[in-house]
Amino acid sequence: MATFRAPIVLSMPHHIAIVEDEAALAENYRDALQRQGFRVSVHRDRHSASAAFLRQLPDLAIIDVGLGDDIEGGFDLCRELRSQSPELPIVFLTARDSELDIISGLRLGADDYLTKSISLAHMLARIVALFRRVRALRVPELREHVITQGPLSLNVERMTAYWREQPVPLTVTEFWMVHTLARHPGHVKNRQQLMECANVVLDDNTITSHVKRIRRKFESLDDTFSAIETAYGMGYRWRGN
Amino acid sequence: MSLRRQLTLVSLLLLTLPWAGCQFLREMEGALREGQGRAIAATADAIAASLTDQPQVLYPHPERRRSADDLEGSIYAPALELDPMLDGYEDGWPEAIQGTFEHLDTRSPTLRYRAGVRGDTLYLMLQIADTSVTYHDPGLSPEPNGDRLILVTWLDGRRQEYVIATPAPGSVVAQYAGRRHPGADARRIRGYWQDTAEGYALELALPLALTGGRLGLYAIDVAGHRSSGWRTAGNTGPVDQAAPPWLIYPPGELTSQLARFAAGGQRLLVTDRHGRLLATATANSNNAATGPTTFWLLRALYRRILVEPALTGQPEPAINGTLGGEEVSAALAGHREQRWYHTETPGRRTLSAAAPIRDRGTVIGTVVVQQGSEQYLSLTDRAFSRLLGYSALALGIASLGLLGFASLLSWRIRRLSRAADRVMGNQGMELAHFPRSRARDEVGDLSRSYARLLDEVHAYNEYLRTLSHKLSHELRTPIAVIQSSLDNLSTGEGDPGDSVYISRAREGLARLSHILNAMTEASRLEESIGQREHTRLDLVPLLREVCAAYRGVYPGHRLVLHCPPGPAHILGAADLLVQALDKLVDNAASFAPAGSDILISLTPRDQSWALAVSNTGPPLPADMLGRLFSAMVSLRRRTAAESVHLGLGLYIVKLVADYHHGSVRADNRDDGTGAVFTLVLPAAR
Repeated sequence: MATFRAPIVLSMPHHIAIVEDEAALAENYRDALQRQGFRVSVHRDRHSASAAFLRQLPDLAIIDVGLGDDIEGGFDLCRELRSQSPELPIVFLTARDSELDIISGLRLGADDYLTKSISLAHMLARIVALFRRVRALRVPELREHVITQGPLSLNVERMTAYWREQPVPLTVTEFWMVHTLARHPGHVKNRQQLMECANVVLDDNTITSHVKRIRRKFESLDDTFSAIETAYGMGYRWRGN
Repeated sequence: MSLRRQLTLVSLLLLTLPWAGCQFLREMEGALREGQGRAIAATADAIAASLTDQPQVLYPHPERRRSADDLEGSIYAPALELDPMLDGYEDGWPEAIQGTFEHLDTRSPTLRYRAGVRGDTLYLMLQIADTSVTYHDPGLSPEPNGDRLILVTWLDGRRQEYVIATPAPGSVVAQYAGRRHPGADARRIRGYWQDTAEGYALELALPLALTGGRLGLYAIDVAGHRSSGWRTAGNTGPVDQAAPPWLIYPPGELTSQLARFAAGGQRLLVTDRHGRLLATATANSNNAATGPTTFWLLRALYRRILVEPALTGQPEPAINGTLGGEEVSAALAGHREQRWYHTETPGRRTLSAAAPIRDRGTVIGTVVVQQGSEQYLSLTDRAFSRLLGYSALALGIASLGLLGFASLLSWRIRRLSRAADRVMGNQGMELAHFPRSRARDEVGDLSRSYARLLDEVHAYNEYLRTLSHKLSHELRTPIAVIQSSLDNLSTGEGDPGDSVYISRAREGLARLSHILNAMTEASRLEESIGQREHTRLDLVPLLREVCAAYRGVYPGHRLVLHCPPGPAHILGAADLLVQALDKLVDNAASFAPAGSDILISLTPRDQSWALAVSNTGPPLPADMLGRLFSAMVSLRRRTAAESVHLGLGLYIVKLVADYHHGSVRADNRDDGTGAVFTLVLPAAR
């Protein structure tokens, strides 16, 4: 397991808020993040979290869906936060891994939805990627970071995707999956490879639903989209021209 | 043995019904018989009472009563039913000879007599055996001089003799023999003389009044006219000067008195104190004309069923008029008695009751009342045939009822067991279709208990089904705690030796996560399955592609694919199908020995496509075939630690089959060398 030894040097440490009712877990996350140089604040329930957020918004929020007895508290908190700041990166980190939960979480405007089986390293990678995307969005776009594959163009720095010049709203996980597939068109990437590239541990079903969601997002821009092919029993591949 | 058959057997117990009826009939017959006996005894008593202290009715001649015993040679003259024709022939007479008198030495002449009374007239039929008949020769003397018959009567304490002789066969009239008594009238004694092969026959009629209650008679055989030697035979003799023996006959008054009592098919008899029949009166039965109305076979049947212990036949009156029978003897001894006799008609009986007639305390005779069993027999006949009819009806109704009830009962039980089979069978738990009986009996209770039991089993199964999901959900947080702690540990400055343990802990954790994922796979599939949409897809390229992939995944087995040349279109979700196929192939690979074939075949089957995965290996146990596709059912023994089998794989296959409106079944190969799992999917039009 690769570990992130090199702390990301930041002019000013990013402030990450963790809303998690499981104290041990919250402490573990806090320790790991602090080791990376982040400033971390931990909230045990929705009310203390929203009170703190009213005072000052964090740079990134990691929210558990179930907060004690408040089983949907994370969703409510996400809604509040999104209304306060449309750009704030929000990550759900939860034990609930049903497709329904994932979809509702992402619909509420979360940037990513991670299950608690994720390793700290993966989680850190996500968080760093999110910060990078946020930062990249603030500076002018650089051409050299753009991968073009037919009508698809991917800005690796900003983690944005364009299909026929139209932006495709992908989450970080989805972006990495598309990136993995599109970098080598025609190559079959199996699920394991996709998971590794996306820095996520998911079961087959979740991969399938991710791919499905990616296709939908492209299809909503282009009815004829069929670049992602299923190789039954093996994985997926990007069909080049 | 089915319940219905058992109950039919039990219903055979109903056959005791006719038996009980027969017992009842027997009782009834006994009661009837007893009643009849009582009635007859009462009649006998009444008649006896009416005759009490009227000895003259029984004994017109009081001397006879006073004498201790009847004299030797007394002549008994029963009532005749017809007037005999006075012609010397025995036509119209009873066949039996009543008495025979012989000459002591030579037996010639021999006098055989028959006597009878009709009204006031005494009739005699005398047959005399005589080797040589000598007729009266009027030329020799006016007195009778040939063979002749002497009658001796008793008038006013004196003997009066009459002689009957004839010069030739023909009508004869008596003459006085010896002194003539004033009351005598010889001309009223008439008769007919007839020659016979043995000698001659003499048929006589004389008024009873002439006899004086006594009658002596003897035949004289002369040995030729000239000789003086003659022989006699009879109950008296020429030298006898005592009173002649008694003439015992039915007194007219007694007969007329008795006739008044005769009623209802009874036969009344009166005897004197020696048991000799004096008078009879018979009345025809009122209902004699109705006769038996029942079928002869039935009659024979129940006469056999109701048979009584053997009875003796009724003794006929002796030739001298003595009535036999113990009841008569008992009555003569002063007791009332009755007895049953069987008659010549089988099954018929006669009841004979005798009562003593007393005169100042001494028994002077008996009254015997006899009645046949016809009256109560016809009653019991009718009762028996009705009993037979009713019990047949009751038997039929009860049998039908029992049979119907048994059928209903067994139908209910069968329905219950069928429903339970259906619910427990491979169709899964369809509790909604389980018949919950509202009947308040035991079968209803059973049905409700069954329903409750199935409810509980169902709830338990539901619990089992959701357990993995809940468990995995609950376990995820502590696993995350462990994992994040491990991650933190590996970044810290711990003892380098610890890293071994950390990596072992990670391995264990990875396995645990894998298990959790496997556990939630099925429930997640269940959740997501409704959101899939059908697309038209061709199974052939899909199978080709999948097979190629499997060859890489399972290098230890040879995967063989049989596909039809043309396309095989279905409506479905390819990824679900592949998932199901993954499970089937994984299942086949885990049971098939290394190096063996795993055969994947696609064959059309009316409006459907049958996708079969077949492998060599141990056959499936027959009792598991129906349940293999349920959740949490696994045939595997726990062997490989790295593989997790929660019995959900085939359940997922079933979910996928259901989603495609298809079916899945597991069978053993016909030759028993392995198992075949077949997924049947409806073809797209």
